[in-house]
Amino acid sequence: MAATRLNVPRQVATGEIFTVKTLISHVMESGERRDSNGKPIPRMIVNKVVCRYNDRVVFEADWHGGIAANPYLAFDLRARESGVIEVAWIDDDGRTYSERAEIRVG
Amino acid sequence: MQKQQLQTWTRRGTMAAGGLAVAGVIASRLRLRAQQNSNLPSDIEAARQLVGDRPLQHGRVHLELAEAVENTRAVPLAVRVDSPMTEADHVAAVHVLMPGAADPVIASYRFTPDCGRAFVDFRARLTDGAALIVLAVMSDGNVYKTERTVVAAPAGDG
Repeated sequence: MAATRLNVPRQVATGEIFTVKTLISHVMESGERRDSNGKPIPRMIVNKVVCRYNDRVVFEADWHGGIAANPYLAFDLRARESGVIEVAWIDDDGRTYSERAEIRVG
Repeated sequence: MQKQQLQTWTRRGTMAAGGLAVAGVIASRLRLRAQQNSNLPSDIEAARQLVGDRPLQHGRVHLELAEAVENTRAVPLAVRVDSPMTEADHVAAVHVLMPGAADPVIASYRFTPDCGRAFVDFRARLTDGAALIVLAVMSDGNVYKTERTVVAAPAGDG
């Protein structure tokens, strides 16, 4: 189970732009390394991150092998209304990890 | 601009006696212009797949990358694009590429007007001496580009 973190401000004024900070502990195996026997180590990365704001997709990331291990990701959103910010991380095995945070706007 | 020049050349062409030869010159000049516009090493098929053959414009895209990278395995990168981020005029996508890598695409980010600002901050594995290319695709289809060379700090620094 990958540890995930999602950080958004608790309270924001309407229309204000705030930063969403996210972190997931993940090996992010690039698929370009070999083990001690010379066998290629298969790629195992988080290849997609989706952010929903009250169930509406507002930001997405498509990641490849060049993203660092335990990937940190930050981006901005405009405060429209109170509700829930949800971030989902999806890895090469199709596993989904998600984190939710409430935000008060006004 | 291309259309205008094409018209000028076409007019010249009708005045010229050897119309066919002139047409050949026009075609080759337009091809050359198209290549100059693309401004992208032709081996970066990945970039072509992401943004097509649109001309790449300069400006608007700002890349934050350390002058000398301490740890190439996790390099902080931030991209900001100048945009009002309205329904009518916003950044649709930002692509980060490192040509020459086994997978030349590092990341693609999709933005919406709800982002308020086109900003993204993340960490990448980069290669010393490699070129880092950032392409920003606007909602009107225009593509802006910025490029930097990755420089690793000498071992033992800091």
